[in-house]
Amino acid sequence: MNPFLVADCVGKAFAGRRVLSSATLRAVPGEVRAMLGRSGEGKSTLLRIAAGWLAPDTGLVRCGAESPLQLTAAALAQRGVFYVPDHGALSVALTVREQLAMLAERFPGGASPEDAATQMGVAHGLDERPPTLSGGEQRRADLAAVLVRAPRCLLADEPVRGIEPIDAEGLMRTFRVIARAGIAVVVTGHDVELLLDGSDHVTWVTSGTTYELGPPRIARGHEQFRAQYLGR
Amino acid sequence: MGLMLWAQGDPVAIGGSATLAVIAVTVMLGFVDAQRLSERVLLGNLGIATGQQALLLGFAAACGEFVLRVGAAFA
Repeated sequence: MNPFLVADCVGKAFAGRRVLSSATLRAVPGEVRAMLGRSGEGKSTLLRIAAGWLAPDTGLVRCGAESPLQLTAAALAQRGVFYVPDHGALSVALTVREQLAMLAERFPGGASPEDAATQMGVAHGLDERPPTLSGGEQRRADLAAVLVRAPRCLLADEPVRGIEPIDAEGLMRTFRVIARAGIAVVVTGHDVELLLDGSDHVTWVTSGTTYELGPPRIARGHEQFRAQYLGR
Repeated sequence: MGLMLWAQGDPVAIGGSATLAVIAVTVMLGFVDAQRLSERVLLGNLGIATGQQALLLGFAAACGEFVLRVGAAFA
């Protein structure tokens, strides 16, 4: 299937330090894609560029059949891209209910805030602000926002970092359910086994570039990936 | 450094209470910045353009920082 979102041949440097030289992200409808790589290799940078939050030095971001011009985060959001950074997608200043209601009003067609919160097991926290929820509940509230928004593409940066294993497994299951509904999902992280088990495709980010390793079964057997990243 | 100069005039000879004030202000500015970051993500996912975000958040941030700086000057 054709990708919905492509960040192609992306290069990016910060203060003279080149993080990405020629990296590519493809978000394909119906697939959970895991981007793996060591810390500092540019996974988050590539995700931010794909979401329009950061301008690349070189390369471009294309969304659907749109012209290959650099699209802003707002333009990508309006086309159906939803970005969840590692600190979460919801504001710390408003209640979860208020924020889900804003998304529902702006983008009708997804789940209702109540249904989404119930589905994600955070109905009890609807009238709380995100910082008062536990880490796992905050991540589930982020996914409730995704269900309300019903995006065409979800980019999630380290969504299972620092939460209980049971919550992490639940999130990965939800990513798969979301993908099966035809949404393109890309997640990053360091919980290798969880991400390999829960994904359809593995992209290895290393040395400023990306390697499409394919399905997790193939990735696990990739000699260089094993030697340089998995370490076994 | 700019804040220290603004608040005290001499960053080298800054006094104890002014140092505490600068630390407090710095922490508060960091807090405001973190709030702004989380709000930017929400606004971005709502499809609100960067220019509109700047108007929404810049005004609030400018008011907040003005209050903090005036507070630091009189601390």
